[in-house]
Amino acid sequence: MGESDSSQPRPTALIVDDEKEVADAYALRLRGLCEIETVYSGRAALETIDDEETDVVLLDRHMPSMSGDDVLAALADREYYGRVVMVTAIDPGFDVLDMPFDDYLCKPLDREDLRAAVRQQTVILGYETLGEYFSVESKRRVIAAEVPADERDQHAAGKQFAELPDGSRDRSGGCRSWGQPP
Amino acid sequence: MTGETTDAQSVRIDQYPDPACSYVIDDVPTVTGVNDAFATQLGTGVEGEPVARAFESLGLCVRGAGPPFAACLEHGDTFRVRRSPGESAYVVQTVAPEDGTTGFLFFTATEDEQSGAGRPDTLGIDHVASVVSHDLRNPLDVAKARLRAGRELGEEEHFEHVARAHERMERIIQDVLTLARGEEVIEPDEVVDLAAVATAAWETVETNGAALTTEGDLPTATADPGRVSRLFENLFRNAVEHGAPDGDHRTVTVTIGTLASEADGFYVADDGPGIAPPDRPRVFEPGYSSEDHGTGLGLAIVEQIADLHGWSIAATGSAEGGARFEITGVESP
Repeated sequence: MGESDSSQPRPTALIVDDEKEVADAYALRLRGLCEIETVYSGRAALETIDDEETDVVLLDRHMPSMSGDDVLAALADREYYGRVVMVTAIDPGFDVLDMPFDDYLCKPLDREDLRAAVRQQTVILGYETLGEYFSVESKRRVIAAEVPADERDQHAAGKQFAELPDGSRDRSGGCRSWGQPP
Repeated sequence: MTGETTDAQSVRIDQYPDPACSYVIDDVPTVTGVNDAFATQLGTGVEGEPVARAFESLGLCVRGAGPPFAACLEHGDTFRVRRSPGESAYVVQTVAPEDGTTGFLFFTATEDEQSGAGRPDTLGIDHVASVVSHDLRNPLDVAKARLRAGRELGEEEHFEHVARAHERMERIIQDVLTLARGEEVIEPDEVVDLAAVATAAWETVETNGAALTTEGDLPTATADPGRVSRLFENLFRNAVEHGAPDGDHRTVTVTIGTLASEADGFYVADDGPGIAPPDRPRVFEPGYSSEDHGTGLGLAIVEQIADLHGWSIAATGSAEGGARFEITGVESP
């Protein structure tokens, strides 16, 4: 497993499963692919996502107190930027039609399937972020080129575009590394 | 029920084909009469007895909680009884007395018992399928991941996890068999020190820092030590999981002890949020679980194990407001 260049930020995956053994086994399977966090409850998952940059969430559905479905709904409310993969022992029914996840994996899994799913989501997220970056970048350029500097500084949004948000720059850097196989 | 202005006294219980009895509430609910079906199927000589004592002398156990039973008789409700172990079970419809009139209990044998095909809680194929598919998948997944890691990395620790996952799968299989086959897999023929079994069982449960305290001496009993250990494990797991809901980092204290009443037995209690009285009779139903990540069979198994030993179990409340399970009818050898 070739470690990618450590100077590049690696994507972060959050594994959410109320069974510690399961969460830890998944962490083991993802070793070397990305930064891994494990939490054992839905509430802890939301706390982690609020506090830390989390790119991909691997979410168990059946958990006490706050189920995976609840976490998913809470993430949708927050307009969470990352990707959510349901990993569950529950065979999906029609209820999944309305659920805002990005992929659905049924246990038990093979290591390859899990890694492929996470890799795929990070690539998609990379392109999404890259798209966002280009959209912002093109606006910045057009403002820089067409709007005189003094007018630009008086306009809050214009100024904001001129100083491209750091997060966008960081993540666009990240997305290049995510596209590579680990 | 009797919405019309029918005089309750005129209701003739002997016209009811299944067991039925009448009662009045005179301080306590007291049996005033039984019909023929009651006499042949359940027994005689209970007229004039308080309903609770009559049930006891006839070997009828109310399934689930104690308090709701009394409430049923006063307010009219449906509850379930069983002649344990493994005999007939009935759904009982109560017509509560109004203003000092007569009340009635109508028994209906549950289908499974009538056909003798099995116990009322015998698992349906649906439930077996969901247990097997859901619950075996997690340990299977863990075993797969750890086996591979162990092989590739040559680290011993992974095999420990494989072994634990296998133990868990074995337990699940045993649980399903206990529920489905009952008598065939249980052998209550050893003298068992319940305190020792409980302490050993505590060690095997992931207790999240919870504490176990013992009050008084637990009795010894003639029992199947493996199954009794399972009974404790499931009660402990239930206490630990429901005693401190997610996000609540308090430490649960689980207490086991001997029942103070004359009924021989013991209890397992916790200081968590407890079980709401209306839910108490239902917690033993297979698949009843609002949240545990297990099979939803934990307490159904506990009840089954108690039943197969000839014990009764009821869910009540602990002094601290938590859940308390009382196991009665435990005879010392």
